[in-house]
Amino acid sequence: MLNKYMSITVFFATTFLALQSQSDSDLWNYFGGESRGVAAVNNVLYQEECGACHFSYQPGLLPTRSWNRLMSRNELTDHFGEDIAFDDQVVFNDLMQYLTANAADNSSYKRSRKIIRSLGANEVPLRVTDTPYIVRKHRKIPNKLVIQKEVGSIANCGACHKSADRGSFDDDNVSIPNSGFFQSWDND
Amino acid sequence: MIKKYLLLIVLASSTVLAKPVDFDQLYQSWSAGKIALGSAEKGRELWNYELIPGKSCASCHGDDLSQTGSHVKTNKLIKPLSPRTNSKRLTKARKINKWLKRNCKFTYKRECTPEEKVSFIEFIRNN
Repeated sequence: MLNKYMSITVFFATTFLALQSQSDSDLWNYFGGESRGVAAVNNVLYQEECGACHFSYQPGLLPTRSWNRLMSRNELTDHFGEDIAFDDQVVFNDLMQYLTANAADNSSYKRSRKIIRSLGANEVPLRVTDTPYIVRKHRKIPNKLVIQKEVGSIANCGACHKSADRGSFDDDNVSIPNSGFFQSWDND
Repeated sequence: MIKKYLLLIVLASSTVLAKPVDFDQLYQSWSAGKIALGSAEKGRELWNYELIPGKSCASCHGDDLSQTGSHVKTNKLIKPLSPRTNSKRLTKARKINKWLKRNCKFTYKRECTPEEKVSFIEFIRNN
């Protein structure tokens, strides 16, 4: 009798963990598995300084060399057209430290690894949406769904990836506005 | 005894946190001690002014300051600017200065004059 309940419990636990291992879930990581998403943003300063105007792109979405270039004087005074140079050196240093310590090449998360692997050694992308892995993952999405006002561009992660804030970009949590019934745009 | 100290700590910290911005002092810091001109009415006029086509304060913060705005380039939602709706607004001089500088450069490609800054803050305070 005891054996029967034990085996049922073990069966469900195994199934649950097997499913978890296939999603961008922190739970799997807790049990020692490789994390599939990217590390979630856990830095209030970064959320305030960068996340006020745009999605708080996780540092694990770009390599250290990209963050170094984005945070250079030249880039900060022309940040995709805007001057956002920091007046406060302490703020700048803290952000720099956070970004580089958690950059994709310093992360063990699966999607960070994939982004790094897709990049040539000399490539220094300034946009997450210019990395080959991210380009490939989004190439089948019809343009009209991207440019519609609810989304705007591929860079607006949270418009479709409902768990993007938590660093999870799993298919299961994707909902493209006005795309009708469920369609998978990612067949890789 | 412990309760008394706890209460004191809570009271002391809340006074520090709740210390309001001294707007007269802030305005004077922009115009080297002189009386800064500017008014809520002037701020309202400037609110929709597009020095660069397609870019005004309202393009991101909206016409109704009690409503959530949306960044004109990134679509990122922006919490209401009105202190009546969003009690965190205009509570820190450091943040006011930081965002006036950044957003004037965003909207006008230059820093704002003391008069413009006073007008914006007065407009936001009254809406």
